Amino acid sequence: MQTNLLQNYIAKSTTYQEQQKRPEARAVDHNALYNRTFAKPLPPKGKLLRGTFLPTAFVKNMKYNAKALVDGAKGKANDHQLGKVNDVGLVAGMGALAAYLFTMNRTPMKKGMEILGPAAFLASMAIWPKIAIRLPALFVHGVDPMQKYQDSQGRVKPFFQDPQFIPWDLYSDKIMDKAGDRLGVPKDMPNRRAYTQEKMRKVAVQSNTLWMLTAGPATPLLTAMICNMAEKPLGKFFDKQTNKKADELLETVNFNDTAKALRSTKTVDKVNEIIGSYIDKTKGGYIEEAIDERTVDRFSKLFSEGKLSTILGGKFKEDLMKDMAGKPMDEAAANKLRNIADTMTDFDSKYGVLDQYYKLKLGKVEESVIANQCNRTSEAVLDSLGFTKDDYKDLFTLKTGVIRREKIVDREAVGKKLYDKFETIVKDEEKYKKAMTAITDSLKEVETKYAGNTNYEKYVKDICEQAGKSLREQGLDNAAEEIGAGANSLKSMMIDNARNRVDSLKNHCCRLIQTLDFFKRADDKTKNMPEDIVKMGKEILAKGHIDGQMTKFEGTMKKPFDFMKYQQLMRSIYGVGDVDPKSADVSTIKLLDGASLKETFKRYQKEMILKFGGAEYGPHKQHIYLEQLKEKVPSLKKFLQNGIAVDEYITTAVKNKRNSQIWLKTFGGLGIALMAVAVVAQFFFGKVKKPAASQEVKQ
Amino acid sequence: MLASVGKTNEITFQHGAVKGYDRDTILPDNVATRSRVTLDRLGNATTLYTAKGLKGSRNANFYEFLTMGNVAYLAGSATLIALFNAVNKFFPHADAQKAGIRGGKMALGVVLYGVMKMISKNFISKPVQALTGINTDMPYAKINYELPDNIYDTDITSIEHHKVFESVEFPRFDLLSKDYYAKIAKKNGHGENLNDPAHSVKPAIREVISRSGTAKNISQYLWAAVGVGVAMQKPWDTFFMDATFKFWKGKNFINTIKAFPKTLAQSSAEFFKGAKTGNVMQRHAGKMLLGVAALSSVLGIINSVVGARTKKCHSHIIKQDERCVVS
Repeated sequence: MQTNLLQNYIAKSTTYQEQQKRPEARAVDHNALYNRTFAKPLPPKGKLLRGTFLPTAFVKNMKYNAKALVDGAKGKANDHQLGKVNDVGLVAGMGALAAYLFTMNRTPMKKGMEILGPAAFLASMAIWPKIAIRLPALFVHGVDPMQKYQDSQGRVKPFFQDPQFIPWDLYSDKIMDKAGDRLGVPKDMPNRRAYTQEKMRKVAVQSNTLWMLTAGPATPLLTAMICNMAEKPLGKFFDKQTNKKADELLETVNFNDTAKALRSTKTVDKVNEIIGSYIDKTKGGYIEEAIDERTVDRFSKLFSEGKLSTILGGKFKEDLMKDMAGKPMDEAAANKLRNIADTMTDFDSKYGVLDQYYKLKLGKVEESVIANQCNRTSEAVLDSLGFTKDDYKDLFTLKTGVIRREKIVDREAVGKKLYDKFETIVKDEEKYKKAMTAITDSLKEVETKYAGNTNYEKYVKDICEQAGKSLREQGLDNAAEEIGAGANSLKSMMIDNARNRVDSLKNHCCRLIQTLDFFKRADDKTKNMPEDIVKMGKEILAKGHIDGQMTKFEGTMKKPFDFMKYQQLMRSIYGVGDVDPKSADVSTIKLLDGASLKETFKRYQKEMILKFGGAEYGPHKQHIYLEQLKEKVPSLKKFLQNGIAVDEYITTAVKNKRNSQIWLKTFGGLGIALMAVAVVAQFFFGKVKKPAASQEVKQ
Repeated sequence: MLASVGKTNEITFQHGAVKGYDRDTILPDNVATRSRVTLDRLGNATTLYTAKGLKGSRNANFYEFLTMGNVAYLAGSATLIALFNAVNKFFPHADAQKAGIRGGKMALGVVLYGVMKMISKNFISKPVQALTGINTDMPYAKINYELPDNIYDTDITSIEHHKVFESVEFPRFDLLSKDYYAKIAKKNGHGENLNDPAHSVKPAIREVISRSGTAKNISQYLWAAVGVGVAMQKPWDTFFMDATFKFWKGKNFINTIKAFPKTLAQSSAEFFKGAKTGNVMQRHAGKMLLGVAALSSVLGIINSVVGARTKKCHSHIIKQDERCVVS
């Protein structure tokens, strides 16, 4: 027989049985009523609170949380306050971690992301329950599982936090009636309020459970999505800031102030210290000891410390050895050394400022202005060439490597796809215009952003020549030459490096323009370009490296070099560098004119003809003579002029894009699936059996 | 009497009361109990409590809701690790290697965050227990009586694992004996052989709960940040380049296990030393973070001990060693 607990209780409970025997025990004591005092419970002050979808709870409750922390430390906190202290701890911990990781990173973007990450995490923790749990529950049932209320002590608590202690008295009959209507409870149901409450309770319990199950995976996913979306705008912002900071460095007042701040007396102090070792401390005057080679070496190292040591160290040693080695220290020598120290201290501080500018603007480092420019250009070019998600997927093939099977982006496949894209684009004026505009916009940006380089060159010239002049006055001719004069001087090197960085990017953009233009002209049958010229031109432009230039042109090294054919090819591609209708497509000329880039492109074409297509090119494969200058063009210059091969450039860009795509597809998909589950689940919540008709309980 | 305080200051429990509890029972605070409780809570959180919660059961309560927070925590950690590791194998080899190093460090950061958060609470509770005798982590098993699902339902009890002092407003003083209060009173200078030691000890316990709870709530996150900081150091780059946790790879797996403690020591040293170049913050950030975390623990201990030993202002009005009647 199954046990009926209720009947067991009734049978065993003595209190219940006694009460049944003594009805008078339940009678009201009227005397007590007459003698009553007027002490009674205070009226309740609790109230329901309106919710918000903004993650502002922590900010709004900051005052309460701060008091909770103080009370907790004093030993006076209650349970509610201790709970809030945990929230304070979480934010404090996140803040401390962000601050630490901030110091570990050196670039502005990475620092910014270290702040954004924890902020996005905390925001996600607050946002997810609002959009995935609260909103769907309100929409489907009209019940807010995250309803908050304020109790009589002023503490804000979730209404449904403890399902077994829900302060239903805060809901008036009127509000409960409305809730019942929304939940579809029949109006004539007996105990309608109780039934409505039960439905609301059930929806809240189920929703809160769903929240606990989904918050774990959802919060990191949402955080990652927020950071991913913020990366681009944040990158743009920091790029602007870096560019501004770099340009401001070259404003006269800032330049001088920064140089002053970088100025160090270390060199002067150390030189004086060494000179001091030659002074007779008892009698005054200098001791008779000759300046040895080791001391000369020390001086030369002091004058060329840091980055300048490899460039200038040898020259200082050469000059000082000639001037001072083996001779005694005297006042003249000491003054000379002090003057050199002053000159180099001044030079070092100003060189430091220019070095900062170079790193920020042109450096081969992450997040330099030019590096960001390259990344933006590659994105813009990919989009403008019409690469789609399917293209990226197709190009990301599984290839059997030597050691392992690995996913790679096949450059040959990219080359083929590139040809298809070019050939499609050149047939449609709008697409051609879009592709060209993306490239000309980048080129225009380069021209504008690096206009300040002339200022940089001016400063380089000034400080190097000034230092050189001062050193020459001290008799250090070699060091003076090395700093401020000649083709291999520090001055030339600094100017060349800066120009090369900018020119290589400009030439890269120009090569893209040239390639598209050549494909367009090749497509135009009225131009009557020979087939072999078209084929070779496309190969060289789309796929040629500087050494590949020759190999791609008509076969192997063994064949005799057909100079005339090569000249015809160069003329077909670059014309004579006039960017006229004979050598460039009309739409290209129009676009270049519109962007005021015609002169820039002309210069590019002329340089290409000079360095690659000139009369002397053929017989001297590795170097060519520039007739005007009668000197060889080194490989680096050729490389910078030629730019990176278009297919190689696109291969790298496709690879990066595909990596991002894979990541986004996987985790974005997961996030969407989680959201869908959270929303759909609501339709299964809140099912409560309707009460059967009541029966008399038999005793 | 449910519990008594022995010579070694440990709580002993009634014989046979651990399994099949017939009343709320204090449990021994040791590794075995903590492991058992953790497994029990995790197991229930992922199965029973989830099922009850999703069904909207009348017996789903606040304890179950809080316990399910562990599921959220573990699932979140796993997702964070997956975000940086799961798709790396689809990248080209060179990219996958770089991503793998970063992913490894992130995974380690998540693990160390959790480990440090867990163990850092002991940095406060153990010294406080040693100095005041009050174990704020004293566990007990609570018998929970549920509502029957139907009139014939007899399975209406469940066991919940709580701490005697988890609430500052409603601590389970009823589970503690007079001997316990006497011991605490003596240890904290409230007096010996008191008639009613509970009278002066209870407020002190509340103070300790509040003060040590506050300190734990702040310091655990600071120590967790230290754990993440250690995980981000350079020695881990070399470790994760060659590491494998695929135990079936035999020698490689053993080498990984061997290299782990050494790399942890190197990284901890790097974290403390800081960067060799840069401004003051960059060079000393690790020391500062470690210092703040350690300071929060030390201040928490001191504050808790002060709270336990401070006699309430009314204690001089009532003479502790005289008999009195409290109505």
